[in-house]
Amino acid sequence: MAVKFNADEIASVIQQEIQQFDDKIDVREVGTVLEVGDGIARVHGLSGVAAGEMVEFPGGITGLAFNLEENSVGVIILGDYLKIQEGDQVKALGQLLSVPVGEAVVGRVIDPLGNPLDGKGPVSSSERFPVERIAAGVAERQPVHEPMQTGLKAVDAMTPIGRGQRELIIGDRKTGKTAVAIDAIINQRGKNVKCFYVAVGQKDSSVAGVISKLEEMGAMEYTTVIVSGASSPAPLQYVAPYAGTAMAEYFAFKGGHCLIVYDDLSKQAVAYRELSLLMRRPPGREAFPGDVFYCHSRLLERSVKLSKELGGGSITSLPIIETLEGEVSAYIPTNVISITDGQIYLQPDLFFSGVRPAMNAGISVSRVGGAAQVKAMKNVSGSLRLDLASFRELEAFAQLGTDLDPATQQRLDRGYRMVELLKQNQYVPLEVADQIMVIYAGTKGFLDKIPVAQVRRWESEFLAFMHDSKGDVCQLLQDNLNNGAAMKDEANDVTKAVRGAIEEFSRRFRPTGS
Amino acid sequence: MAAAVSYDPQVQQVATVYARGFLQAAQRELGNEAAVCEAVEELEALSTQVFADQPGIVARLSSSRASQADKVALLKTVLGGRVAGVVVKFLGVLCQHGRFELLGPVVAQTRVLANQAANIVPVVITSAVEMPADVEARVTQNLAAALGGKIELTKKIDPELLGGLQVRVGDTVFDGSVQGKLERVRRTAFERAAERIRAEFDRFVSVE
Repeated sequence: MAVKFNADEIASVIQQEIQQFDDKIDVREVGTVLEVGDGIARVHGLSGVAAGEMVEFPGGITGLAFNLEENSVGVIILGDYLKIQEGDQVKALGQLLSVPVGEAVVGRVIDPLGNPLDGKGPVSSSERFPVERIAAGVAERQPVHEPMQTGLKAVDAMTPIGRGQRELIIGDRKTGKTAVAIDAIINQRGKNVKCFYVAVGQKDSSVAGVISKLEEMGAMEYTTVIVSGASSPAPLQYVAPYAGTAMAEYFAFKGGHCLIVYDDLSKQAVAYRELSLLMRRPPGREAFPGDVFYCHSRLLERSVKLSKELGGGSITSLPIIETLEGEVSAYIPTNVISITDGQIYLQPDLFFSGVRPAMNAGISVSRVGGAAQVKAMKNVSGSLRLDLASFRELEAFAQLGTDLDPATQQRLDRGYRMVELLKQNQYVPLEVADQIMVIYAGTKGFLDKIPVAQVRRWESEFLAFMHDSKGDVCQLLQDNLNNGAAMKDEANDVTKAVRGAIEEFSRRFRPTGS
Repeated sequence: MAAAVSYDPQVQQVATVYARGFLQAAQRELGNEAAVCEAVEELEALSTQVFADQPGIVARLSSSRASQADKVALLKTVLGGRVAGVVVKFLGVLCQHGRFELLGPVVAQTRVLANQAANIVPVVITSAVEMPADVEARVTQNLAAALGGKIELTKKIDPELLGGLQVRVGDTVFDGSVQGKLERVRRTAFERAAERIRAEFDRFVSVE
């Protein structure tokens, strides 16, 4: 079987197009390249160009007017700057930078300009959205109130995320930041949420790993990956998060829900610093330009829960920031912490001691998520975060070797089991009903008699038992997730059913080796 | 079609300041437009003819070894009485500020500002072959009417245009050349054809 192109047919189409060509005199604003290098060009002329306007170099390479100075214009080049020479003519295009949006981008791997990187042909979309857009104002929003389940027990119970929220994932290198975000994407399967993974300054091998995992888990069906790797020029790395947000906005303004992961914004800030320094903008703290805060705030302000009149769509964002040696008080981390509605702080020592996700319950917070949490989960996990934080303090105290009274010992024992219970393997997000049952069992002391090392086996066997034999209880809980009374007190029907099932399973469960 | 550019934004900024200063001083001292125009022409002639032929004088006036008083005295001796007083004074100021080597850009910028003040628009017309005189007259006349001022015409010949005209006013290019037209046809036909091939893929491909 051979595929053959019909040359005559193609020629006839081209001929038709030429016949229909209606020419007008081309009027354009031009300038001349004075110098070029490191992804930027300085241009003489273009006296009427607007800030952020697109310009075109010979060979179709586009650029963005970035610095408007008295006698020249600084342009960031979105392409191969090695092909541009001094003296080349630059043409203003009279339009802002835009990217293709719509269903055509879903399931694709593209660069920040919308060019395909996955070998599946061009992204054919008739609609484009501007990359930079002013975020929705107060009248266009409503408070965050729907949950965005990540499928991670620790996150959904202690730092719940709502649709339209911005929850920072922060931690040192190799602490599982991307893993949290990827699990959140995988968990959106079948939930009608479009996901966007923006890889900025990442190794191409890591991005390839993420993409293949998303494909394997069937998550690429609703995910777009926007890649601007470590070898991409700084301008593309700088533009990538805005491009991804523009693609998400298309769905949000149509009433859909989106989840966008910026992995990571520290590298975007570094790219922006590079551009700014090359443009000779004055450096400030850590050599970042003065407006690096604006760079992140205008991006994250575009995460939104739109009002009912506008369709009620949402963009939830999970920006990632990499810290150095746990230094959260560095410039970029403090900036982004202050912009976002909470943070999930991942700690290396927890990670290496096997607590994964390595979330530090004490300093991880969600400032709005509680309002968006599923009611039953809220009833079960209300005090979990504070209990765990106080357990960590107690644990440090217990290491002094002092004799402990039985009540303290009991709190410690439960703490160890809760920590064990909140551990979760990668790529296995849990449904919220399952999370509720497991956490209920832990907080109510059903695991106190189980050896710590057996807790995770207990959990997996318990969940299998519930799904296989207690489908009715699972269904009852599922139906009452948003019932304010569910799981609140022992007299509630749902609580009774779950409790009964746990007691039944506990009688059967035999710890191994005992 | 890249050509080396001798344009330095920083030099340009300094040159603009001096050019504006010179024009204001000339206006105040000479009082009428014609005399100012004459002073600008004198300055241009000095820069392009006199000093261009006398690199020794320029070197001496730009040198930091000679004292300011010597330089001013030299200027007075050489030029005194031959050109307008304001021109000599202006050259003296350039020397005193150590900016004499910027004379070329300053003079060019003075011409630009003087033209702006007199509502003279510089226009560059590029054609594939030499324009016939009647065409040139018609184009100039139409342009002057459209731009609402006098035009200062610079003609260029570029065979690559193939035909038609390319008119540049300031930073704006009006492209009516055959080359530009062909480029636009190529681009549009390519884009539209690609779009249609994508939309009706089966029509263009046969499987054997």
